[in-house]
Amino acid sequence: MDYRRIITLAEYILQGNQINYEEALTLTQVGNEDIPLLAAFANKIRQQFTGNGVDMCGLVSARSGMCSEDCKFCSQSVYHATDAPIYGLRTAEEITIAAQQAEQQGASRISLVTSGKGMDHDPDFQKIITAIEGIMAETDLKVCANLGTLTPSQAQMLAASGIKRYAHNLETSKNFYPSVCTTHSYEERLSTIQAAKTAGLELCTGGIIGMGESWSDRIDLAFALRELDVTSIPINILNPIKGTAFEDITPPTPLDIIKTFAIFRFILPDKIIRPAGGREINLRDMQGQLMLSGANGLIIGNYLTFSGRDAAADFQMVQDAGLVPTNTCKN
Amino acid sequence: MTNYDLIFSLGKKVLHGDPITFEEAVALTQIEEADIPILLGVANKVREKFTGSYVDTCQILNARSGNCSEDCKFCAQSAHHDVKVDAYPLMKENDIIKAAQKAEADQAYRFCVVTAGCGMEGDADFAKIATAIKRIGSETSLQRCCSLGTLQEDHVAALKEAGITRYHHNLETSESYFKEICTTHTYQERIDTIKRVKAADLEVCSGGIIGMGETWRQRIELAFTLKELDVDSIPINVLNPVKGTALEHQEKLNPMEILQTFAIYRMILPTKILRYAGGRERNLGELVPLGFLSGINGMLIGDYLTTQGRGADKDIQTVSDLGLKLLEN
Repeated sequence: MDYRRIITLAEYILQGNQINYEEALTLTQVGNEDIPLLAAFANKIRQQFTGNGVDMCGLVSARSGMCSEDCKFCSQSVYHATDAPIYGLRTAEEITIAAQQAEQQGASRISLVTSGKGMDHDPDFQKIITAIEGIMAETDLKVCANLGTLTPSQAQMLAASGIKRYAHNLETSKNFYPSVCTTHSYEERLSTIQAAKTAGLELCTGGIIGMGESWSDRIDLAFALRELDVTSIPINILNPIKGTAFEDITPPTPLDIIKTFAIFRFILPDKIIRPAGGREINLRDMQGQLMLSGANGLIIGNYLTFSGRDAAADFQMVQDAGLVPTNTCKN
Repeated sequence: MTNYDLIFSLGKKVLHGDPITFEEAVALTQIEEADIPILLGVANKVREKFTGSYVDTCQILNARSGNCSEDCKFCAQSAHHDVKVDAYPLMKENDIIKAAQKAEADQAYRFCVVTAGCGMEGDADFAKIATAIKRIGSETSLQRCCSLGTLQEDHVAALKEAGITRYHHNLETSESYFKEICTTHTYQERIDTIKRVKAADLEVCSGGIIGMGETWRQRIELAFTLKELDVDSIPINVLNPVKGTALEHQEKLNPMEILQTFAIYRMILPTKILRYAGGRERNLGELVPLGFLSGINGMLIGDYLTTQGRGADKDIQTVSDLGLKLLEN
């Protein structure tokens, strides 16, 4: 592909237009030698539409393991024999302490995450709301929740508790989804997202790349997210955990990952695009490049079932790239 | 005309095989910060077109350390500085061979024997060094280089005879800034050594150090001098201000400015080897790999003369992550 095509599409976006599906698909044909250029324009788009702030978010795993669902990548599924920790809902006090630790590491936002399909008839739901209120009382963090499937009334209750954003991934494209999960449908995910939106919550919705999906699957996901008008897009890169159905998948190369982030930025110019789990093992020391390829958020500290790296290294990396870790991201 | 129009118009010119002028290069130093990655991307394209995907790696050996008579302000080995640095006389031949074998095991393509001191005039070690270099040739398949300071014609001939293919001798900085960096010998003396080496049909590895307080124009001046001398390989160090040296308090360059420098050098010197050298770890941190996407196509691996590198393994992993390949003997 001629590199001038990159410039044409980038300028079209910088003027405030949206590229269409076919145009996005042509960007997947950019050759390796032009990926830095594609990334540079994604960086320019990121700067024009979102500024130089990087939204730093921490996770608290409030309940772990024993999930009834069969998501092939997930070490918390009962279908997989892994070393992932298993515990019931932690106490409100433990959750608050974990949130305070994330705040000390520099997070501006925390997401409270529970394993399991969702909250329907879940006796923990009320306790989770109490824990969320506890975090809000004890820290200055913005609090998000990631609790799986929600009913419309649960979404309303979360909004009433003061939560501003709900995290619920689509994981992958609709087309590829049956290869990733068979115990619940893509539509079910969409209806939770819809319930959260109706309740006035913002959405943090993304997925995982490197599970064997095609380029058009990745583009499908980005367009689905654009259509849903989600605010924040966490992009994980498969960390093939031993014992999961995807343990033998070879993850994508760093250049392939960078290209994906850049194309997501072309499709979603004004959103928070957030590198999430798997960045350390798959990008190794190419994470700095990612910060100049359209990313403007990070998940810092540890992930749900595996360790991240020292948050201080992420702050240094963001600053070295000329960006600003911020507690006042406009989103 | 937006800033990046300038980047692309100069990029097209270079990709077309035409040189850019001094003032055009200076214009590239004045682009907006948000456009620096675009410049890097264009430099990467230029690198790919003119030098391909191969990375030229070398490992250096500090074969004689410290006690140097010269006063280069950045240097931990100068007798003018009070630095805690290991000073030792010329290593034994067997130890030099062992170091070369280690370089080969680290997948270095080249091996460079470096000695402290102004040069080889009347230096009793010279014959020993030449012998060691000859022996490296029979015991490894490494390309052999050396960096011994000022040379006269007879030294050059003897080194060529010993089997070196390339001689290293930095210009360090621009002619106009050199007197701020060194007062014990002249810039012309350095240029004369380079010319003697070129005249003997040997390749030259010559670059310098950025971040010593020079201006952008001086940095560009160095690139054009190197271009005029038609040197083959250009090591670019980024100052690592060692405690006890005259430059110990020099302010750090910002990482994006360092990458911008590489990219502009690539635009000025499209076909040459631009080589990562000392100071990259300290100054670029996690942005080190971006150098390879900004025009760099060579690197020192392993440790430097008086400072540690980040480990050859890590650099080799980075090269493979970027879809680049190591030059092999």
